Amino acid sequence: MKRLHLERLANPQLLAPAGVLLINWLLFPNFFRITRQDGRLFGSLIDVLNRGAPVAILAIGMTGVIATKGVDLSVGAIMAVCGAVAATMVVAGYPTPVAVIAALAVGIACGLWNGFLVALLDIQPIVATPVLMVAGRGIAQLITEGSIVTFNDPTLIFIGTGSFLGFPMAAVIAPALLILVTLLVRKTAIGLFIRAIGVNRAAASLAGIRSRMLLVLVYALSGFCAAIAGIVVAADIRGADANNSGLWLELDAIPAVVIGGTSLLGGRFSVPMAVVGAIIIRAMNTGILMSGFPPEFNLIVKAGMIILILLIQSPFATRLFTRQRLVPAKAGPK
Amino acid sequence: MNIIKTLAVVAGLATALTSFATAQEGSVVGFSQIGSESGWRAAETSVTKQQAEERGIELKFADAQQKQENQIKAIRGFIARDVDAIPVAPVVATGWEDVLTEAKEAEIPVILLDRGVDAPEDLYLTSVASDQVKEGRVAGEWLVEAVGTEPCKVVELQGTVGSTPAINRKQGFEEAIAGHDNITIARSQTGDFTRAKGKEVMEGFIKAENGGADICAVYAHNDDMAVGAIRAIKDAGLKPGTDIKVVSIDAVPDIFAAMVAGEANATVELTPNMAGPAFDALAAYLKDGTEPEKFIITESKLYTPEDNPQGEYDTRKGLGY
Amino acid sequence: MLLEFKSYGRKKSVHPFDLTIHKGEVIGVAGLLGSGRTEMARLMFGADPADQGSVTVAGKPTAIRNTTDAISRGFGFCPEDRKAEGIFGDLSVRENIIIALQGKLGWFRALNRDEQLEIAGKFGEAMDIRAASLDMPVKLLSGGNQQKVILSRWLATDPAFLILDEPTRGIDVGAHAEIVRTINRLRDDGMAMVVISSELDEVVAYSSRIVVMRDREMVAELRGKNINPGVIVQAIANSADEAQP
Repeated sequence: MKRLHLERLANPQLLAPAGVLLINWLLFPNFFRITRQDGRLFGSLIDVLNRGAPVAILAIGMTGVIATKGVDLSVGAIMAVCGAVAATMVVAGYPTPVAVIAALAVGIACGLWNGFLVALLDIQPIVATPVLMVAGRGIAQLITEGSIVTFNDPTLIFIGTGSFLGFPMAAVIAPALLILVTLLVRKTAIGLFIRAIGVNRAAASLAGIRSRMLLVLVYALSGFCAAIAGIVVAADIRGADANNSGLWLELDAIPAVVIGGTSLLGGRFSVPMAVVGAIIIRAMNTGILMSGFPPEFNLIVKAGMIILILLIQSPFATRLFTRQRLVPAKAGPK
Repeated sequence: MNIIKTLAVVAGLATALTSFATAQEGSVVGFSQIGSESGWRAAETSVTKQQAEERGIELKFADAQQKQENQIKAIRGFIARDVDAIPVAPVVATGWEDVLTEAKEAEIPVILLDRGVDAPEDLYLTSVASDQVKEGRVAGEWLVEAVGTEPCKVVELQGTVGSTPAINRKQGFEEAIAGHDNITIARSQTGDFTRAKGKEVMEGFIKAENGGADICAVYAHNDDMAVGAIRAIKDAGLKPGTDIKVVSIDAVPDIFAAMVAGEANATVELTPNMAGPAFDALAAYLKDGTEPEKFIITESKLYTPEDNPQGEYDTRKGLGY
Repeated sequence: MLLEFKSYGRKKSVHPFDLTIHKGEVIGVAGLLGSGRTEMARLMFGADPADQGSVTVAGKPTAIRNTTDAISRGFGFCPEDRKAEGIFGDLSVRENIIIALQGKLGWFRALNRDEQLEIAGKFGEAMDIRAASLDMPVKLLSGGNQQKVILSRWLATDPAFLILDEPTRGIDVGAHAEIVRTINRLRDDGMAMVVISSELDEVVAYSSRIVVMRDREMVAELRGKNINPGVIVQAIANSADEAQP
């Protein structure tokens, strides 16, 4: 019983976040200190949750895509488009709910476009999604007419910087979405079908799974999540920045999903672990920012850390772990 | 060499003679703009159009959409139309020699705006640009004066790592505070010139520096990052502009809005008016062949809340920032 | 009469053919590799939709545009290339067995784990699947056991009509016998089947009729007591003009 418990603790997927948090704590002893500030929680850990939320939201959508052996490189650009839609609409005087719903609808439409290319035209995702990755920023620029559209709508701002029970809104929206999507894949057959498509799309079609429809759904969900992230990010800075909103964020979301244990070869995925992956990446970024290294090292340190985490989680390392554990277990009964 | 000189003199004489009749009023100028990748660029375009209109210059405008080949095409088009001058905001530094030589052979003066090129200096009339090191220096000098002898821990939000403005603005600021041991740069990180990253990095700085209590001022390499940092300071329950001084560069409308609210202390202008000095130089040259200085440096003007920020906001807002 | 295909075909794939299948009947399909046997199977199952002809199921005219249509009408299909089109290697034995039934039930009527285990256990036992656990990845099973898993997958959907493409190829003797036994048992229980096989002795043993494919065309339908491997080989070998009366 005890050994089983230890084994679970040694799970590399949970070791990684623990390790990153430990390093942060060593670099910066106040890392775990949380205080209350104007009725909201305040501290580095809260920042990690708050800043990690957009990547976590993207990772939730990206998980389904990667589980079907795809990839969605357009999420950053979709964020920019949807942020721009929400911002320009509230500035133009539309009610906030209308603007938000319109932005979400645009996100879904972007996802449907990706799904159309991948599922119906059978274009490889790595070729299909960059279409929107490039075009999306242009579209966002057209919407904002090249400038940062700033707004003062209190409801929209609340989405970015408000708080609920002391937690920043972004850190509330992400778990809510996580629960929703997890229920969707666990309580319906969609999760099984996504895995089946990822493992063997030909067999899935012969087994009567509507794989095209499901693929379209998966990309639409990714677009929907990107829209939420885009609204959150725009609300956070009270402005839609077509050039920079979500820029390269897909390159955080993809490793987050992979660190979370979702297989790029299909068959295995976990939405909650992808969110954990996003938190790890965010904690890493925060650690780097607070470490006082010159900024020239930021990307190098980050790349090194991701390689290290993936190495720890690789089958090779797992074998190494298990072999070492087996020795005392065998020696036990003697 | 001599031939070129002779040619130049002849060309100068010829233009001097013709311009005697036309002067600047009614002249035609072809402006090749990079595109509209930032608010500042859009403002530069509208200011250039304004300046031309004020002087009665007819401005032909060509947007290159970030492509050098489009700019070269536009310049060739202007040469074919035989315009009186070609102001260019070059998208890259290299690859201009051929087309600039064509312009020179057609005796049309070229004026570089905002950025320089790697080409012989005699291929263009003059280059109008800001001095980024000086921008940093003006920001630093303001801080030196503002804090006096009080000790002051500064956090710096750098531009994109390795970019020229980031390097130069950092250097200028450091030059200005050198010798004032009470001012130290405690932390320096990149905010990629964006609001979101500016806010994010500032949040980290505040946590790392005793909840922000130890920070006396933030120096941001552009106003956008400063606007982000102001949000982070407010979220931490501190007063930007009072508890933490905010100084930045660019003078975009939103920083004036922050000044109106008392949340920003100073900004150094990167003027979008590159065309004004350019047209002045052109007028003198067309009138009597006065060769302008090869490098015209625009003013790096300091703006503080005393400089009617509401008025500045209103005038700038219309420029397309 | 359960099924009737009339002038059923698909351009550049299978020439139009007529075929009626009754309950409790096994139609053997013989022919050389590339003669259009697999194409015919895929056509009947809707994996490649027909572009001519008609089909009636239990007397009712119907359209089979895709596999979902076919499955909802009680069809099942074990493909020839087990690894590429049949097995979900990284999914568990349990999931491999219930997946077609789940597909039939749709997205929102999910079988819970207990129901899945019950179904997988029931068919696993009936087919004598040798697996250490129903939760182990199916790719760790032998080829014969994998084939039994796919057969179980379709039996779980309670089908009226099964299409088996080379069900006994490349599997061990024990599994081979088990599958032949299952075919016989299902036929006796009244299921209609189309079995494509290159093993003529075996086909002759369990089939009620045999159709012969050549050059993507159904060239002969052999019935009655006079079917034997020799006749089939002759039908396969006869050139097209000799087959004309």
